[in-house]
Amino acid sequence: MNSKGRVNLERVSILLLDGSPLGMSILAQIFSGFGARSLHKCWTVTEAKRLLTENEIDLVVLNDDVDGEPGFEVIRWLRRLDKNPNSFASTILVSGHIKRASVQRTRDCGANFLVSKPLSARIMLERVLWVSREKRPFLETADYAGPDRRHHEATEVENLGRRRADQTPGGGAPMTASGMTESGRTDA
Amino acid sequence: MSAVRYIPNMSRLAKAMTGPGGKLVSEAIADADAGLKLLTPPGIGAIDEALDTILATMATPGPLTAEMRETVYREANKINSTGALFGMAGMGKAAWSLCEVIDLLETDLPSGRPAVDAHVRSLRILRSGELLPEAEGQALLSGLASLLAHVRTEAARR
Repeated sequence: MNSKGRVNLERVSILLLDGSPLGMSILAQIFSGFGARSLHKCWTVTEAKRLLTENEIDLVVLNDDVDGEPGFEVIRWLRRLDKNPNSFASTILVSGHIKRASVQRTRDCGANFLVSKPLSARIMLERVLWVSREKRPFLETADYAGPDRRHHEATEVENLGRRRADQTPGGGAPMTASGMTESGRTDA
Repeated sequence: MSAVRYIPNMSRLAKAMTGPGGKLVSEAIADADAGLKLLTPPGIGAIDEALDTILATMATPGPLTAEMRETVYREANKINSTGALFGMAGMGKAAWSLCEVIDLLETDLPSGRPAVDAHVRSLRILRSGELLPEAEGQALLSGLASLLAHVRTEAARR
């Protein structure tokens, strides 16, 4: 991320969903600091759904646990909203530790990005910029609606290997370092 | 085979972010960090509250019940989620490790209670540990990492 680049969230309509006062304050401080002026704070899943049906929202940032309710259900619901432009809204799901049993459900909810806590302003801004630039088409199947998951963030590998495909220009897709999760976390 | 429908990306975000105005990226991050700093007192208060709840829950002797596991997991996840934001990165890491252990304990493991107890004691030491030299804090976290590895191995054998 170029620190001398500019970011403009002044006209971006952002929905924040978090059930805890501290969690909401963290999100609000981060996005206010980024210069966002239109923050819609929702404390419950019901409130978020109502707001999403009544207002135009450009970016949804939500916690995966909203007072015991799974926040990712909002994204799943949103992606299935017929004839509502918000169903394509960019979404960032913010999550603490995820239990093994929930990993797949979380991954498959249709979010554009999953950011692991603890949050940092830098990581969040990187993800917002990334999400704003992405061009992945949406796909809809019987059990999934959201950005195409066959996505790789291309990163060129500096040292090419010895395999012929690696050495041939256009001889295969570049190796990628991809991941839908962003976290500074390392095991304790 | 189920039908797949492709729809062009119609996100409005990029368009909403264009136009004059805004901030330098460096300013945006600095302003957000300054705002987060204001949250340090309530943030530390919330971490202490979560730790107190964990300690009270674990004061009950005997095997870990499902309710105890759920409470400890929930409160540890709060510490994991905010520790590093409020200058308690070590506690955050220990809490994340505790979440992992509890998640693995969905199957009953002999090491369950002792592993959770060790994490809880470590959290208490790390919290009261302004006097704890950094190297000792790191050693404590390394010990928890070894313990977590052991629990993982044990869970994988089941």
